[in-house]
Amino acid sequence: MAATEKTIAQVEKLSGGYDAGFYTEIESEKAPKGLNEDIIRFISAKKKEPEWMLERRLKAYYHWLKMPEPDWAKVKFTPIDYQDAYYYAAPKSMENAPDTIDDVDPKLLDTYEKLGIPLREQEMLSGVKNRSAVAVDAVFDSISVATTFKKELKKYGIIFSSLSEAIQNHPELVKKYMGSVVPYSDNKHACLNSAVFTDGSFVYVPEGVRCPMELSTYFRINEMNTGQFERTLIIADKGSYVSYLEGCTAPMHDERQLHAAIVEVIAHEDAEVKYSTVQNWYPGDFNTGAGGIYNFVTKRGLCEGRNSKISWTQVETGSAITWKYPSCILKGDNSQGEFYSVAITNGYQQADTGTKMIHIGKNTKSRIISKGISAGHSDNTYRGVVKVMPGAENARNFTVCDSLLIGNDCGAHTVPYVESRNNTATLGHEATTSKISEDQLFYCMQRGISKEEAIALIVNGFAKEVLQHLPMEFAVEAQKLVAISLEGSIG
Amino acid sequence: MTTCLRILDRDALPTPKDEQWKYTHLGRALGARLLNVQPLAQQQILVHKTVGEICKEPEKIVWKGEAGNHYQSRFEIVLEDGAQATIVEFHEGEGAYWKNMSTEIVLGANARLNHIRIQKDSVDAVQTNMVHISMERDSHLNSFSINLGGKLTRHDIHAVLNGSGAQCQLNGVNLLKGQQHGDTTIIVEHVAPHCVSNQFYRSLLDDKAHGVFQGKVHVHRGAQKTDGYQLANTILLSPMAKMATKPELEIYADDVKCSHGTTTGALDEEPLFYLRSRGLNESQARMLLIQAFIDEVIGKITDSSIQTRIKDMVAEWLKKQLN
Repeated sequence: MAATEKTIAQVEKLSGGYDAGFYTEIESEKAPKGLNEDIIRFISAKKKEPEWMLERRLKAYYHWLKMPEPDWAKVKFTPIDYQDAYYYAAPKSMENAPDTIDDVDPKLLDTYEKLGIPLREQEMLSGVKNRSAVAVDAVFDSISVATTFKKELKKYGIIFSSLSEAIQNHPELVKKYMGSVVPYSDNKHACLNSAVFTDGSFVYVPEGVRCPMELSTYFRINEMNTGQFERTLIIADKGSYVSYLEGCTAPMHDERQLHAAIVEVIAHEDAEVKYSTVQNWYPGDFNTGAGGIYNFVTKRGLCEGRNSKISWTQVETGSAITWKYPSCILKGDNSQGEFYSVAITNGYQQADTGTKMIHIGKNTKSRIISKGISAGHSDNTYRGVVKVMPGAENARNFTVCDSLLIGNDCGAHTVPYVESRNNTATLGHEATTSKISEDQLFYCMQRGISKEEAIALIVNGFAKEVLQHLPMEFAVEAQKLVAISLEGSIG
Repeated sequence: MTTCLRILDRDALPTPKDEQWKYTHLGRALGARLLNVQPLAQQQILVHKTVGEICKEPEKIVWKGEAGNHYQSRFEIVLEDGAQATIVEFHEGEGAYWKNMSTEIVLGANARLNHIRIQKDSVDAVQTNMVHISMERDSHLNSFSINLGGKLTRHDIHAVLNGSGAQCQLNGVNLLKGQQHGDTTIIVEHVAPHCVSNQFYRSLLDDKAHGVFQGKVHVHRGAQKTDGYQLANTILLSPMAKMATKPELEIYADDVKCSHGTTTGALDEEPLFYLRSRGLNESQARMLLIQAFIDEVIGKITDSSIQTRIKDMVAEWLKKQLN
């Protein structure tokens, strides 16, 4: 491509707003609208699940009925009508699970292609896409469409599959770990997920194995009025390492859609898990705030063994409402938790996100770097907890959370809770809120950079500390995403 | 007042559900005996300075407490435009009592108030103190509060900066030991532009003391050029002490400079080592460092004689606790 064409394409891309907003015309099979015991039995039957799984689902469902909505987050929305949504939707063509990728409906493959996620291993390996190998589990509405590089990974003993398959093939692992970090009674959204979860990814990395490639899941909501309830379970056995990525998009629909997910990560002795998210759900209409995804996610990692490490990196640009607190329970001695986050809100978006670091073991360390950027009429809140239990000797925490405001109609809030019950622990917290300085802007513009580009440049610099923790190719994507999300926020 | 009591009867005291994060167990601290005592007739003290009145000498006001009593007190400080004053508020008493106070501070345009609050209530007493501050254009408040006594104390400050150019300094020191529970909750609302607010609190917790610091800077839409700062540092002297900190920012204007910082931990080893290498013994070195830690806040008091007096109080407390 000639340089000029490239520039034109880039500019078009930048001005296109939410470019993942297309809808794929596909015949799909849905569960009847609403939520009741029958629906749960329907989902469980669809997945051909064993009896114990159904029991767990029903237990969660009955508990959910009694649970109150969490109300402490700084987000406002009309109450959710749980009966006005579909809890299961799957493309018809997937009814008889295709054996190979060639049997998968080309329309589905095209959807992922369009989103820049090639599912054909051949292409990826032959370098057509010019990307390094990344194993992908593609989830479309309620089911997993394809999981790539399974065979390759099997050589190392790594299990990477959809959760539905894992329930069939590795029930002992699922039974043991699922719900061990996020119990079904944790909060209303997690409880709903425990009752109606449909698909998601399952990763098991055996002892001493360093996963040779990035594992990733790409979530796509396509149907109108459906909720997506995926569940991810990652287990890193002793001395193993895995890096996992998650991406998500949805078409532009006028109705609000619910996405309530659970992610559980377990790291045993000396294991390390790196979990990165690029969240780009449809944020709703830019000018009115109509539509968009309610993103209510419970993510939690357990550093079970000594010297284990869990690191969360997230780039949050989408969703009408984000309610998400990826957390670490630092139980093993010397374990480490990290949280790097960039949350950008524009239009009428609301984000309440942060982390919880619970120090239980000795010499545990945690680090929180959070950057919030708000523009338009949006509200962006950092809410975090650092808790040191009496036994956590020499625990260390360092927190920085900075906010940037662009425009006069938005809000930026910081709500850190710091609780120390051990006097050998050292906790530090810093936060600032500011705007882009006129001097910086003036300097860039005087060098011939347009105002919009200058803002993107400055914001990317502001967020760099976080973006550099993303795997390389995602970092590039994320930088573009930052620029796109802020579009229209000035001038 | 009877209506107030009726409301208290109806809504009762806050429950853990109302204050999930930092519950102040007032009912337990008061015990059935004090809770049911009829309050003494309302005690009221009013300090009023008229336009341009300048009082050079500090004015001292003493709030006493006697065992078995329940006080509903009201303290008002009103400084009209351009007035200046220094008020020293002193709390003391004996035995178990409940002092429930409402303090109102109103500063007119260009008024200057130095407010020093020394809380040395008896170790069995409970003090709940709600402070409302409203500040007009270019007024200055320099407030310092030291908490030494009380089984349970709760100091809620709600400052509203209504006029542009107002400057609000809220500084404090909490020295808690035994089973004391000390809570400082601050909300500063920047309504007008070009205001400055500063919160600087340092705490020392020994034995099984429980400290709480919650500070919030709320910048309203339109309050541009706000400069808000919060700093809360705590040193835990004993393994059983507990500190909960929550510095909050809620900001709706884009051209502002707001920041906060908190630290919680033990005394730093390195300066300790340095001092010991210079020939100080361990307790001397610790004493020196802790004193320096606290003195930094005390230094914010403008009146030097009051400064010295408070420094002495701190030294006395430290001598008892560290040796």
